[in-house]
Amino acid sequence: MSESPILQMLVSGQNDLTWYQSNLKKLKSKYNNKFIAFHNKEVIDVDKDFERLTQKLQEKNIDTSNIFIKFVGKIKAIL
Amino acid sequence: MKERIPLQIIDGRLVLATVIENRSLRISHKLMDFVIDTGSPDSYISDKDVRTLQIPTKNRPTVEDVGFGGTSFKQIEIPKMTMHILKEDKANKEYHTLKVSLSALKTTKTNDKNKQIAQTLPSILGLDFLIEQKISLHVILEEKIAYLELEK
Repeated sequence: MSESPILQMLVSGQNDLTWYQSNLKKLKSKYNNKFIAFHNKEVIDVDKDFERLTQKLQEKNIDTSNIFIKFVGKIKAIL
Repeated sequence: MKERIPLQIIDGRLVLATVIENRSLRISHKLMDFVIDTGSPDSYISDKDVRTLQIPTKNRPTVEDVGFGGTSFKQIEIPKMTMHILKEDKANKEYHTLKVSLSALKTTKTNDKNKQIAQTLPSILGLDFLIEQKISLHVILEEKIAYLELEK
């Protein structure tokens, strides 16, 4: 039986977050103080500026509905 | 009957992967992650996610000014969101759907550096989410176990 689109998004999102956590150390040293967009366990694009990153994704016609954009920094923010 | 919703522990934070939607805001389905923050009374969509979701914040009522993550924001009222979350059952993947009250955060900062700091902060689900949805939070960090529990 085929999965619903929502279920597919949730499963892929959970897998992507697991991948992000497993690779966080590497990502922090490679992309320190940058925003990264990732999907299917790979980094799609990177930029220091969030607005510029979203613009780049739009220009590449990347569907942003199922990707995560996160700020990667060695300094942890306290909420 | 109680149902478990697994949380992920990412960089020391409890994170919930969701798909959200809201027709009046023209959000069809969008993957989004929230940090569960029991130190916050309210739930917010971060400035970064407000921009990603293209939520129109002009002409919407401002509830109040709030301080979050060392910077200040306007807390803006938005309609309730539909939120889909994955259930724990590993054999049969299923999801649960909730109607959730959230506010949008918009930074009051204008210079680039402060704007960037505001955009690094995550969206959060605070105590109001747990109360509104009658959800309990269970965490055993030593065993890397974290989940939400709700009535079926």
